[in-house]
Amino acid sequence: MSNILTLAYLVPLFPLIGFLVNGLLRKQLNKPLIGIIGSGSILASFIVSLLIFLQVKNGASDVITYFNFISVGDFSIPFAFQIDQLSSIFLLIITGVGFLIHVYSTSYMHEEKTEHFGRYFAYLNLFVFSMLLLVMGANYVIMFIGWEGVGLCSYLLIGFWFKKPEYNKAANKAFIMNRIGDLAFLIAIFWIIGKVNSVGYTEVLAAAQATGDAQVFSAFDLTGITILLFIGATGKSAQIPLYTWLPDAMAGPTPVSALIHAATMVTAGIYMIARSNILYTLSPLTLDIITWIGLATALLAATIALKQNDIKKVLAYSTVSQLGYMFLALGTGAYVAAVFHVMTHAFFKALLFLGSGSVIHAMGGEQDIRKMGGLSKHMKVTNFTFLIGCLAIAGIPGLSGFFSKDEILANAFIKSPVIYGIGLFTALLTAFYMFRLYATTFLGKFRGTHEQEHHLHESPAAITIPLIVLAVLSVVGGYVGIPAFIKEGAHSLNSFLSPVVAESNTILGEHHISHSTEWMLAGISTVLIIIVVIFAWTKFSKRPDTEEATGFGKVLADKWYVDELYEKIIVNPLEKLGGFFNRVMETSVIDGLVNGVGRLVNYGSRQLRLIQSGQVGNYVLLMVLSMLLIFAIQFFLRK
Amino acid sequence: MIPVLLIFIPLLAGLAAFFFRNEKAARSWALLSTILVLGVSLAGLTICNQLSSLEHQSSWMSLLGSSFSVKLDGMGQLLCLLTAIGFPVILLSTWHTNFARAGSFFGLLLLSQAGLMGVFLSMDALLFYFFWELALIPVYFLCSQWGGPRRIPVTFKFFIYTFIGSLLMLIGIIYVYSQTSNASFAIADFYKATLSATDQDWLFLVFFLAFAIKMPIFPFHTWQPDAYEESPTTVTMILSGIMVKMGVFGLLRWLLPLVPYASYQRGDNVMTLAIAGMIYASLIAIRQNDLKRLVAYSSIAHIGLMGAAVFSINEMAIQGVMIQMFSHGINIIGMWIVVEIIERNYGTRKISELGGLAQKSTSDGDIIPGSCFCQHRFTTHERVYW
Repeated sequence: MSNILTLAYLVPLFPLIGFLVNGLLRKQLNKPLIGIIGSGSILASFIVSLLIFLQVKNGASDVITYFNFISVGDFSIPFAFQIDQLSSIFLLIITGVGFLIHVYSTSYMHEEKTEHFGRYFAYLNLFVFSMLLLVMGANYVIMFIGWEGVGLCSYLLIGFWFKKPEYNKAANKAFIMNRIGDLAFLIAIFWIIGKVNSVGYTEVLAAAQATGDAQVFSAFDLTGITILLFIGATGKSAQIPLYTWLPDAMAGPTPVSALIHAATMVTAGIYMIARSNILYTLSPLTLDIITWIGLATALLAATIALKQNDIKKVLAYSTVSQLGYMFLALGTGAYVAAVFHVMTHAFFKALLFLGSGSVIHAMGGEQDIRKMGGLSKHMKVTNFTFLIGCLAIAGIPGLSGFFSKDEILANAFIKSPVIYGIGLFTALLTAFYMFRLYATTFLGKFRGTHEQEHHLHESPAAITIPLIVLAVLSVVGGYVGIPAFIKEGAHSLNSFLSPVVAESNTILGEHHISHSTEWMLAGISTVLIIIVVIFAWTKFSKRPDTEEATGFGKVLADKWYVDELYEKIIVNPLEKLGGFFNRVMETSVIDGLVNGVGRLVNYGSRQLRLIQSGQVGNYVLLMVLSMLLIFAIQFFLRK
Repeated sequence: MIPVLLIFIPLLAGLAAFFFRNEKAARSWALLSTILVLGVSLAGLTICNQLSSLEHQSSWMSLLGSSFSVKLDGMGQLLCLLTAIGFPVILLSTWHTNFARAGSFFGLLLLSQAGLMGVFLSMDALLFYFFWELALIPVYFLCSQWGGPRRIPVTFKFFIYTFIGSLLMLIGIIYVYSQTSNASFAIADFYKATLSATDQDWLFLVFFLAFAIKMPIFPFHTWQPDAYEESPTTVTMILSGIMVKMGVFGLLRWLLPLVPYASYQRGDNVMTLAIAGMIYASLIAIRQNDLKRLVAYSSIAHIGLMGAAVFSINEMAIQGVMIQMFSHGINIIGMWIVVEIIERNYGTRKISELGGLAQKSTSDGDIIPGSCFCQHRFTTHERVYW
């Protein structure tokens, strides 16, 4: 079998072609054709990714250089792809989940005009292309191109329904907040260039480990670079303090939320850190910062999710919270656990979002869970798959979420029991709000209008089949990472990814806790989670929480007023400053000076003009006086 | 041969255009000439790229030690290409705008193209100065004759401002000329002129002011938003897309090699000024309600970036500036085309009166984010300046 890795360029090429065809010919093509081109291109990528994955599984990994992208003096950036264990897993997630979501979209977006339908699939394909570039790039610059590309597509898709001004605002917010993170990412890249004179992962990561005379990075460099990269990640992966764009991003069509704002793009930050894991391992301070930011984000977002009533907003905050978990894992040095959670989260969160889309579809666009209820009778498949998603995210044993979350919590315990405690508490909150969501939506009595009730229906196959596939994955996805305390050596993801994190693991050392402690931890969390699930289930299926929140609940419902705070301390002062510059500095100060010079010349000329009186007597007098003056000067100065 | 053609085709075509009475004919004539220039420019890049065809020297004012010496080198190539691409695009995009006295309008336009080409090609300081003015003066007439309601005071300010800069530069050129060993204006002799540190110091200021006003760098920018707003869009495109590049180009071709010591000494000050200007102009841009002024201020910010990059005196940064000059030229012309389309279709440039454009006409809707994004993209991309 020839080396399939050299065909890696095909993976991003298919979506790019799909984007060009759908984008340019969207007025000529018809909807089925657009759908086939859009989904088919991703399917083709998925097949190639699968072949690549199988090859990588047999031990192949390579950096494939295609051409020289930028070359200045002795510095050059090749356009190269790095195909290894880490990127091949992400390839599978992106193209696999991406394909399902494309199929789903063909039905979900069916009511759009053909032209907009084409535009939608063009953007979606462009997104997949950028995302693939992001994970396949063999250096930080290619990653950055993908990073910007996904940001752009996210912007375009959030604002897809651009007729509503608030949707455009949400799109702008997402784009601008991401740009703040991107700036830090860029500075980190420049810093790396300044030190290593290269941006390739291989070179940079090797340079980071050099010691003694060959040392390239000082401790300060490493800390600075890693913190800047992490700030970049907080933008893209919605962590404190740059998380507020993600809930607003729910303005986009629901499949977009599933693909971009749950399964793939928002995990880019985790990928970036996992990719540069050596840098992070060598800067413990940054690891601590990541741990605490991740933990704080997980907790904060979970508390907000408790009181949200928009089905997509709950899922959005839940995503922020789960991303916090992943950063917690990264912070504790458990890079594999983070990637594991990325994978399982991609399955169950995409499932939940697509399920919510199915619900919204059935409800005729209604997103408020207070107006739903009792949907389980009308939508069997959606109900069942959504329930599986909720069980998986809550961490019920046997489903995928359990394995990844348990691994993260076990690593947190090794770091500190306090972190473990907060992490566990957040997990309980997660179980609570997910089952509040489930019970309010699917159980109890229907609370919408009669007309809505009449229209309730199960969604067509293009929607339910992706749901079923994702539900199956949400169940079985965890079995690639069976913890050692259950069966020694069954954590196949760990052994698969070990080449990527080998050096980090050597430096961090193995901190194992005994199997009995692990059994105990898993037991405690399982029991508590099941209690919370049952509590939420019974509480909300009987008496759904439909009143307006008051007191502390209102603070949570209003998201701790973080948006208002940002508005006050950042947006308003900048606007005021801009206004001041515009009104005062420009017109009065700078232009005032410029015009002042002109007026001064004018004034001076007017005074000089008076001398030019035209009277010969005056001229003669002046002439005589001047001559006398010259003689006097000559006389005194010559001496 | 190529550089001579690049200058003389627009020059002669421009002079001829003045005699056209029919608007349509004048327009087509101008387009024909610019397309010809584009062809020549592309030929210079591809089939006729041996040194002999890219250079030309003939005597001009030999008594003064100045010769008509032009050369299409790497640095000039990119900007000549930008000029060559820019003009036909600009003409086509404003094809349906009607101008009174079209013969003169297009004649002046072509003359300014000749001036621009000359600036990018000159290898002789006096020649450079001549073309610098040749590019400036037609624009002055274009603004003052065909501009908006406030055109007279605005153009006057623009003229005084840039003219002061030009005169300062002339003083500088003459001084350096007096310091050359063989009394010559040739660029090679200029580079070799021995200049003391104090000489370099004031020469730096003189040249820098000339180029900074043209670019413009904060705080010498106040002529620009007004001029962009009041000029006919065709002229605004030329001003912002191509003409401001004269300033950056001047820094690279003349200022840095001529007074390297002073540039190195004062580089940090200029960078501070440029970066402060970037932030300042961006903040003002946020507050603009008029699309033209918005683009104008964003352009000041981008130029500030280029200025900062030039004075970082770093190979990577200077390459970045070269690329960004080109991409900024293309992007900003794109932005103006969008503004032009919006103004023509909806009769206003006030953002507060616009809204929902993307739904009214999808093609516009795609271009605006498209060009905004490009501009964004290239800016960040080239921020490699350390």
